[in-house]
Amino acid sequence: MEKKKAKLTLLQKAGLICCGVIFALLALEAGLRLAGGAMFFLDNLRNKPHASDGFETKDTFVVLCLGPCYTTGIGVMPEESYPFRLEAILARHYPGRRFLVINRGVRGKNLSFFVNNMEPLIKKYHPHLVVLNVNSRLTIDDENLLESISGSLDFTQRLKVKTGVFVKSLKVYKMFSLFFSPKQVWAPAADEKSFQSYSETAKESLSGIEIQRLQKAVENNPTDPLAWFESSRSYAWLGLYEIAAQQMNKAIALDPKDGRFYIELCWDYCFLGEYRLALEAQKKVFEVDHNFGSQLKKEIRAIWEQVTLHPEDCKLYDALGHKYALLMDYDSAIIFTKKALSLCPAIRHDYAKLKYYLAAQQILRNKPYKDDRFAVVPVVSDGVAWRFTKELRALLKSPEAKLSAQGLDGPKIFERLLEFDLEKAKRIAERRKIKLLLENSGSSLEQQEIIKNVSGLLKVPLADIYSALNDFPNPGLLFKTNLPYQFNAKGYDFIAEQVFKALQANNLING
Amino acid sequence: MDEKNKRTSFYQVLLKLIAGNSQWWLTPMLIIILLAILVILYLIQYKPSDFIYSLF
Repeated sequence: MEKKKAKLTLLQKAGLICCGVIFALLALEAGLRLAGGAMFFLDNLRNKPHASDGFETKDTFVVLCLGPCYTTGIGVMPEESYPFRLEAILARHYPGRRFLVINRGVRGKNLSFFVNNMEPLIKKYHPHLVVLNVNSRLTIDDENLLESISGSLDFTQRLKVKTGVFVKSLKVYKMFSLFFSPKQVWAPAADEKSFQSYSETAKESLSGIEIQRLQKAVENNPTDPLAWFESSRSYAWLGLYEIAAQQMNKAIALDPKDGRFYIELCWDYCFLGEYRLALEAQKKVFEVDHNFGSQLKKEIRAIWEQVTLHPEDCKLYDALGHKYALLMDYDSAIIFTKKALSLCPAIRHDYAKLKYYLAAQQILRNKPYKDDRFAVVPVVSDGVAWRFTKELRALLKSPEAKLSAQGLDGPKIFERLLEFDLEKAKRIAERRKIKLLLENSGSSLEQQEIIKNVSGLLKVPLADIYSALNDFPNPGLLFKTNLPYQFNAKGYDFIAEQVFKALQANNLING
Repeated sequence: MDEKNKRTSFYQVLLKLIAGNSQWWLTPMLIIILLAILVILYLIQYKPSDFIYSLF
């Protein structure tokens, strides 16, 4: 009798523990959703249109910008977000006209969310143009996903996918999946300290006063190559590579036998994106300094000894990459610079250097380096958008080939979803007689072809920010040091300029 | 009528059980919430990415 009672109590206890776990999960889900709601509210408050009474007047050209964190402008002042900058650019280029660019970005959301919520915003703001962002997250947490792929699924498959999508949309599920997911390659380094010591050296670089002092030294001794050399270096530290290169060329004209001059000239050209000139300057070093190679090898050996002691120090890999590049061994330089960036992605100059190494490698192999597009942009999250196929395969217990035949593999799902969303957006735009522009900040390399094809097919003009970023000599400069996947004020300026160029090229402002 | 009484008594027992034995469900609940807060802080600190916003 007693035994029976004890068993029941244990069951009750287990039941109560289960209740506790369920309550906790429900509370967490509610808490996370509330936090999301608060974030949405704060983002809207932060980016409130500044001329609230202006958007209904007939002569004001209203642009509505919709997108995730790249549109909201996380980590910068509201005035530095790209819609605000776009408004300034438009006002500057068309002085007689009135413009209002409304930022209605919501962080963490994707194209479907904005397309589904576009109509009430259009009714509210009466825009003439809507700028929509498409990013790499398109197939994750997508509201229109099921609808866009449903044609390929039967009833049970639909049910399975629907359940899977519901579970994956739970915030609690997301929390655990993020916890167990591998660290993003470009996420800030755990070894933050070594980056800080690295950037200290940069901070110790020349201030304005020092520049003046060096400038005076040049004016007093215009025939002293070292004065030009020092002055040029100080400009390079400040990022004024054009002046730096000019001054370094003057130093070389005065003393063409000093190898250091060519090395610095090489880096100046590297950061200017003049890769052929950089390579020529680098070749010159070996011509004027015959001991250069053996000296470099000694230095590389010394760094290797340090690497064995501190295998996680990004500074050492950065130095190794740098030295191997000077030796013109670009294969090694690329490997070590990539390693340095994987440990400390905030070493901004390494993005530019990496581009140069890859370009130099191509030039030396007599290949046009422009063709070798690679993603140095820190926001790359290649492969993430394709993750859904893997999940789908598991849900449907179907082999990949079969899914692919049904048009249900990563690239195809992405394409169908993009087509579905854009068609929907286009229908709304046609009904409301407004224009559409697509921009691709935050998308990744493997999606570029699809984005271009779909936008071309549906005749929705595209502001190709991804390609523009890749053509930019040092994209690292456009991202925040502490959050390498997030743009800084300069980055948002860059996006605004690209969007403006696309607006002009497609005649979207006048028509 | 009988069934209704039965159901009421079942809920009453359940309520009594929950109210009277709060330590059995409150402790795991608090532990899980605490752990989740730690996980969120860890994610923000060590795994920041543009996906982190989709958590909210």
